Amino acid sequence: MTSKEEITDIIYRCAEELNRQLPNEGKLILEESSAVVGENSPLDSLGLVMLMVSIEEHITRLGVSISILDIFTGSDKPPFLTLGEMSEWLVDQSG
Amino acid sequence: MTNMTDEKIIALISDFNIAPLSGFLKNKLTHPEFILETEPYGQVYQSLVRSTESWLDIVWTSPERVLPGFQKACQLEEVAHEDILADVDYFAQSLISASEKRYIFVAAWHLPANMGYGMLDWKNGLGLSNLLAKCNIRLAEKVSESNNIFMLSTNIWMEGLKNPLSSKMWYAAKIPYNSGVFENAARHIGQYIDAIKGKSRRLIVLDLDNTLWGGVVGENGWQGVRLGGHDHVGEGFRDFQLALKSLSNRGVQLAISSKNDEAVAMQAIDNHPEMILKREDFVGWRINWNDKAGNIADLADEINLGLESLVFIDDNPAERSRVSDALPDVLVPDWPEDPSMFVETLNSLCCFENTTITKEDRVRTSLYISERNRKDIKYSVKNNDDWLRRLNTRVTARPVNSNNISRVTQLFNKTNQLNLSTRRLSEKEIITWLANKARYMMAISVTDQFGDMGLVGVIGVEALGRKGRLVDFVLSCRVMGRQVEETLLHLAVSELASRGVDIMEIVYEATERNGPTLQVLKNASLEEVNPRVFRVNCEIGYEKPEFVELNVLGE
Repeated sequence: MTSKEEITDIIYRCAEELNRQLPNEGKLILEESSAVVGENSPLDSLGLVMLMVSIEEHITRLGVSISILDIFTGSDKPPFLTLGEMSEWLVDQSG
Repeated sequence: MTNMTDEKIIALISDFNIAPLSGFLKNKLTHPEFILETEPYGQVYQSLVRSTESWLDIVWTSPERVLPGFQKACQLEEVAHEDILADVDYFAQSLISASEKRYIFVAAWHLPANMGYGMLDWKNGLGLSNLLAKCNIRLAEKVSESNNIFMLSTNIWMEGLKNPLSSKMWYAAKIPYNSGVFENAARHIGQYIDAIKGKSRRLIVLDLDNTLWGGVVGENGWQGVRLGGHDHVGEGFRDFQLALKSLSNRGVQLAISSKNDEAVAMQAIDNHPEMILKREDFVGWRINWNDKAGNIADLADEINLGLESLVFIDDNPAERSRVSDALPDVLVPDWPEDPSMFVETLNSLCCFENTTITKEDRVRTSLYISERNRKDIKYSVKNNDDWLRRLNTRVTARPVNSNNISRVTQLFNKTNQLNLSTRRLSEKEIITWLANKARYMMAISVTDQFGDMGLVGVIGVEALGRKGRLVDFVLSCRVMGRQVEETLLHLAVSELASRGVDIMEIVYEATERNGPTLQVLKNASLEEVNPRVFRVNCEIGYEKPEFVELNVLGE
């Protein structure tokens, strides 16, 4: 099982990478409570997709295969709303 | 480009989702004059012929989507390469037509992830790699017809990245590359835009010890410094000098600021057999024990460049910090200790872009050395008239035409101090302006006994019935103060007089940098209507200065 630290590190690095192409007012704050989904999220749908794909690519390199985008789009209710919840969800999925 | 106001629309045209480039560019081009617009995805040809105005179109396409035959080639169907090259010609023609109204940056094509024909992939008439190279060369040849089109190397945007391509991102969002590629592209494109706006860096001021060679020459003597030879450290310094020499060949000038004994340092430069850079490669130097910031400001003043045109390279972080604090306009990059990283670090600065390479760029350093010789005479002769007489200055005026328009455009966009209106014009804008027969523009070349200074000035005039206007008065500061300024006024007045104009008006438009122009006008014995407006009676004329020989050539 991949550790929460490893997953959180990947999420934050991917978010940082995405932030460099976002306007100042639309950047993700790198905190567990920051919303990535829903009306409180600064990300538009493309931003969210790019973040999820980028995380998926990085996690794959750890030997963990999760289709985040597929699960996310296939579920009625988003499996996570914040960066912290995303991290926990990914740790569960990787197990 | 047709938009002559300060607002500059930059349109992104692509056949893939180019949103990441838009995001990075928005963060890079923070000046409010730039407005980024993304044209509808996949409508490349329609976007190129759209009626809306833009200053620059950035066109980044994939060969398999924009060239109909290339898709078949990717599927390894048998295709005639000539048919695909005809598609390239059509694409190139669309770009050339669009470039009449705007600048175009077109990205060179990159091969999509495709095995192609494996070991046969470079076989002429068969392989995909062979075909793609032909397509890129054909496109480059065709678009070279337009000086408003710049074909950009995409491979440098991907260099050093572990995974430039992203299949996942492509399937999820129609974005073929990882964000690092777009980030690099935005960084380079930002520099190219600066180059068009005449904001490239033009002078590198270099430290010596542990920057141009290894070790301290004052302690080890020139025989003891590490440079070239069978020495991995020495080779790093030598290659760095070669890279600097290459930049010098495309018009970037070099100077020295070093805390050293000048005689000792110059011995190394003159005598070390592995020195690539010679004394004549430097436009100036300050080798002494004074504060480097003061020395650099002094050099900039001597060479007549603004501090925003300078880069300072020094291995010593304390010196870098001092210069950076004292002269914030000077670019002071972090510099590695390891000389094997020097060339890579220099290349990563990407701030020395040129939109053209003119004859003057290639010999710029020797032009400045001639200038230094002129100044030496100035101090040795009795008075200014003697100096002007001995210079034997010859001014040649030619109409602006296809032979000189590249250099004229460069002068419009780079000249700050002697520039009446500082209007920045592209080639197309100059041609459009000249289409009106009431207007005329002359390119001014200057030579003297020390050499040919090349094309250094432009004047543009407009006849409006009995009244005329000096619209452009652009002159390189290299020839300042030797009566070329007055010769230009003489030429402008004579041209307007020949067109039946009675009065020539000169309106000075102040900028932060063109104060010397106002000084020239105030000293030129003109009628001063108000502090910004001057007048000359064309019937009386304006006398050609005594010590200048003038040659006016026709079409």
